[in-house]
Amino acid sequence: MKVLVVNSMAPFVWGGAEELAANLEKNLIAAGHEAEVLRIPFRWEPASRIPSQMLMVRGFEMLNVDRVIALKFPAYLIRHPHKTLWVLHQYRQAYDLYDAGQSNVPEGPLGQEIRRVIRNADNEAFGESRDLFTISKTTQQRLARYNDVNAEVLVPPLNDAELFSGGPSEGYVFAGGRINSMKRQQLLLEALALAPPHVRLVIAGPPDTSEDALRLTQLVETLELGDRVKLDLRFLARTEVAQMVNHAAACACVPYNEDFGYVAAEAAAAGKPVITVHDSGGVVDLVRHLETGWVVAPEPQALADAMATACLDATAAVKYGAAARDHWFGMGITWPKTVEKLLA
Amino acid sequence: MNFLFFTPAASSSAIGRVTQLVGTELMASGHTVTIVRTEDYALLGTPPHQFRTKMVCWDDTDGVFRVARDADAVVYQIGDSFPFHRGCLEWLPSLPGIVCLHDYFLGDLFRGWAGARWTVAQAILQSCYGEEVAASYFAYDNPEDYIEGTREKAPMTEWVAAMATGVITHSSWDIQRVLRSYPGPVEVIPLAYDKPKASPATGSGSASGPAGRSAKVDGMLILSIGRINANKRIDSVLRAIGTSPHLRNTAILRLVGHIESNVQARLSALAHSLGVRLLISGEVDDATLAQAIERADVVCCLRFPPLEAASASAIEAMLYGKPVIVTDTGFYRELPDDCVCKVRPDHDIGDLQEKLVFLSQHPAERSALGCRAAQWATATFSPRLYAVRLADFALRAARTQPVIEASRFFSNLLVSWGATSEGLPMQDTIAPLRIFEQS
Repeated sequence: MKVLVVNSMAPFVWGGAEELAANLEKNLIAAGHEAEVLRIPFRWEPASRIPSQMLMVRGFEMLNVDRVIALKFPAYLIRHPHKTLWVLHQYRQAYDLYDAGQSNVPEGPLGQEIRRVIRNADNEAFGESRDLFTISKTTQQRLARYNDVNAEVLVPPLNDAELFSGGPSEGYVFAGGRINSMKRQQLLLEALALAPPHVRLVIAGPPDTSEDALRLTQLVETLELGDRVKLDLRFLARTEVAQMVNHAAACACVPYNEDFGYVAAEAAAAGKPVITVHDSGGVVDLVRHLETGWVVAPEPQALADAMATACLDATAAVKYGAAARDHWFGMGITWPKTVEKLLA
Repeated sequence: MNFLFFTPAASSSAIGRVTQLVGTELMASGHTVTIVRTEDYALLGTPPHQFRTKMVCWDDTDGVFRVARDADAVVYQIGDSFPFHRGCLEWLPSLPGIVCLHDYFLGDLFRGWAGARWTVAQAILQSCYGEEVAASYFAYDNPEDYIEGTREKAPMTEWVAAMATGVITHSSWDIQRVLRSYPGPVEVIPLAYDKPKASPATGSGSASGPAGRSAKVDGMLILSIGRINANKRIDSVLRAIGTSPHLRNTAILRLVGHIESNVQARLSALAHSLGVRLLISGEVDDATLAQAIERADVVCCLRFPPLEAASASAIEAMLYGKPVIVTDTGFYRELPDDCVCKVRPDHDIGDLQEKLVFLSQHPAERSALGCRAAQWATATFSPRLYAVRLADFALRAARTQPVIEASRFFSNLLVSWGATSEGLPMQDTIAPLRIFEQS
C-alpha cells in the first residue's frame, strides 16, 4: 500500500512528534509498504491566522495514496477517503491550555470564534476518519472532554529502543528533550537549589528560542548552581541522549500537561526511574509513584526531595528502574504491532 | 456562444422583455439562445414574450439538464419577486451562472423562497448578516416596516451573488455592497430596453374626481406606471397637485399598473378630498401601456426608498421622449440632470409642485427635456450594446470561475465550521488565499 504520513511542522523545530513521524515512515516501509511523510508548515501566531492555514490543509487533495495516517493539528484536517488519525495533540491553546490561561487565543468574540472554528473542524476530522487513536490516556481524555469522541490509546513504541540498554549510575538526574517554558526545566533548577549539594542535574536538548536558552542560563547564575548543573543546549544525536540516560541515576520529566513522555519511555527502557509531577499529563501515565519512580507535586521542594532520594538511595533507584523497565516492556509495544493496528 | 437564460417569460414581465430584447440581439450576432421560464406554477401558463427560440419550463428537470449540458453561459435574471423568479432559485445553487441583478433589494424574493425552508433560510441570514438580524428578520408586522427594517441591514443581494459566477447590474448606487461581499467579476451595464409601438386603441380605466371615466382628458396629463405601492409616492403627487390651485385646475393624474382595491379606494378618497382629477386604469396590456405613455405630458417616476437597480418605467418614458420627474436617489440619481427633473426625497411635495408648475407653464421646455431624454436613453439603454457586453462578460466570468470556486469552497468551509461575518477578521483569513488570484 501507499501510505502517506501527514504531520504539521514548524520550520527548524524537531522534537518527539517529528521523530515519531519519521519512525512511523521507516516502520511502514519495513512492513512492506511504500511510505512518505508530508510535513505541512503551521504557524500559530497570530491566532487569527490559524483558520486560513486550516483552510489550506483542507484544500489539499491526496491522489495516488491508499491510506493517510495523520498526526497533528491542523495536518489531520487533510481530506482522504481512508484516513486514520493517530492524534499526538490538538491545538491545545484552543482547549485545555485556554482554560489554564496559557493560550494565544484572545478572549472575547474573536477568540470564541477561533475556538469554535477549531473545535468544529476537529470534530469533522475525527468524525470522518476510519480509525481514531491517541498516543496517551491524557490525549484520549482531552478528546472525550472537549470533543465528545471516544478514541483508543495507541502508545507509540520507542524509536530506537536498542540504544537505551542501561548502565551504571554516575549520580546525576538527567532531563532531556526540547527546551521551552512548557517543559518547565526552570522548575528543576529551582528544585536543585533546594536539594542537598551532592545532587547534580544535566539538562540537554535544543532550545525552541534563544529566549528559552537565556532564561535557563540566567537562572543557573541567579541560583548559583554553576558547579552542579550541566546545560547542554543544542540538538543532540540520539546516541548522545542514550548515553546520558544510560548513566543517569534517574530521569526527570516535568512538562505541563504533555500528551506523551518519550523521555519517560526511554528512561524506563534503560531501567532508570522517572521523576515527574502530577500535572505532567501523559508522562504520569507511564510512572507509578514509589514503584517505577516519583510522581510528586509540581513544586520545587517536592521535586528536590525526589531528586535527593534518587541520587542518595541507589538501592531504591535501581529497584524502581528495574520495575520501570518491566512495566514498559510488559506493555508489549512494538512497531510491527503498531503499524498493523494503524492499517487495520 | 450558447446562452441559456433563466428568466420570467410572461408578457407582463419587464425583465422578460429585457431578455427578449437581448436574446434577439445575441441571436442576430450569431449566438444561440435558449430560455428557461422561471415563473411559479400560477404564472407558467400566462402568454409569454415572443422569444423566437427554444423555451423550457424550470420544472422540466430533464429538459433543463438537456439544454444546460450544451450551454456555454448560463444567465439568471433576478428581480425581487418570488412568483416571477422561483425557477432561478431552484436552479442557481446547482447550476451556477451569471446573475443579472435587477434589484438591490431581494427581500420579497427571499421571503417567498424561505417559506418552505425555514431552517436553511435562518442559517443563510445568520451567515450573511449575523444572529441579531436573523432573529428579527421575519418579525415585522407590515411590508413597509419590513422593507425599512431590512433594506440596509439585510437586502439579500449577498445571498444571491454568493451563488453566481459573475454579477451584472444596471446601476452603481448600491454596488459597493455586492463588491464587498462577492469575489467574482461585477459589471454595470445599462439596462436594455426599447419603445414598443403604441396601438391605436384607446385606453380604458376607472376614474375618480372631476376627470370622469374617459381616458381623453383636457389639461396636463401626468402619468405614473407600474405596480402602485407605497414607495411610488402617489400620495405626494396627489398632494403636490392638490395644494396648487394652478395644478388642481390644469393637471390630471393617471395611474397605469396593478393596484390593490384598498389602495385604489384610499387614493381615490384622497384625490377627491384634494380636488385632484385622478384616473386609475389598472393593469393594461403592452399596447395600451405604450399608448398611455405616448399620451402623457409628464411621467412621474418617484421612488422612496429606492430598491431597484434600474427602472424600466423611467427608461421607457424617456425613450418615448417624455419629460420624466424622478426622486433624486438610487438609480434615478445617476440619470443626467439635463434629461430628467429630480426632486429631493425629503421635500418631494414642494419640489414636485414646483417642477410640475414649471412644466405646465413652459410647454417648449417640456418638449426639449423630453427630446434630450429620448436621445440619451436611446444611446444608453441599447439592447445591442447590452448583448455585446454580456457576451464579453460571459467570457470573463468563465475565466475567473476557478477563483470563484476556490473562494466559495473556502468560505463554505469556514461557515460550516461556525465562522460568522462578525467574528474573524476577514483580512487575516483572506490574505494567504490570494495565492489563488490571477497574476
